[in-house]
Amino acid sequence: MKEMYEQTKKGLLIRMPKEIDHHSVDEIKNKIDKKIEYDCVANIIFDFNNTEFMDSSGIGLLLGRYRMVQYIGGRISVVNVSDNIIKMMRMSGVDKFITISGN
Amino acid sequence: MQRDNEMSLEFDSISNNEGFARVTVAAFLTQLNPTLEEVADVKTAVSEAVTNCIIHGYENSIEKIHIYCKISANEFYVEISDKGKGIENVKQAMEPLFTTKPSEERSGMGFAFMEAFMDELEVVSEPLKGTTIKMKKIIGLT
Repeated sequence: MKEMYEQTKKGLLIRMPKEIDHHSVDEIKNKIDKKIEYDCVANIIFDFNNTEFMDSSGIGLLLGRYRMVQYIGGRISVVNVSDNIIKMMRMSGVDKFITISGN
Repeated sequence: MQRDNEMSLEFDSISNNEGFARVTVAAFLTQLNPTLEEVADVKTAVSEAVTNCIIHGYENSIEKIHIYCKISANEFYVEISDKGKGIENVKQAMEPLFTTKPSEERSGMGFAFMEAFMDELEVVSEPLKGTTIKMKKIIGLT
């Protein structure tokens, strides 16, 4: 089992779980927000490699983290995103604020 | 031609059950031999509706959520209801990005996704009585 976080040159990498819904988002937020604040993280990379499911709760999570880091000039990107999740990101317009790369 | 098939489900309005609900509905749907994309669409729509019941309908108090599904030829029908606080203005609630709970980081995309991923969406709601979401999807349309 890989660690949930990894500090990379490009920013803090966060490995997202298999299922992203209202239930799991609450857990993820509890874990990552403290780290983002304590470590003054500016750039975050969410890795969707293991993610098979996402609903609109995931969109809320991304927008919320974007709001947290934008004040200090931070950036949010998402990597290894499957086609159906990219579709949801585009529909909601979060692709205007975050950088998306597929798998 | 397969005969019609129905299924009902009732469970507590706690967030642990969001995964249970969408996976159970998806399992019922497999009889129609859906594509992976069709399954993903239905799972997302169900997850949105169930999450709405928990967060908005019951505002995190623990009550019952009811799901009814019906398969008729290649049509999949699902109804998700709560007996919670209901929606004052359904038209406004369905607008993309509208949310009554921005502080909880709700994206306001729930209804937009239900509409996009299903073929039909109807919202029946009465304040203080509850909300029922009725959705249809034709499987094997493409």
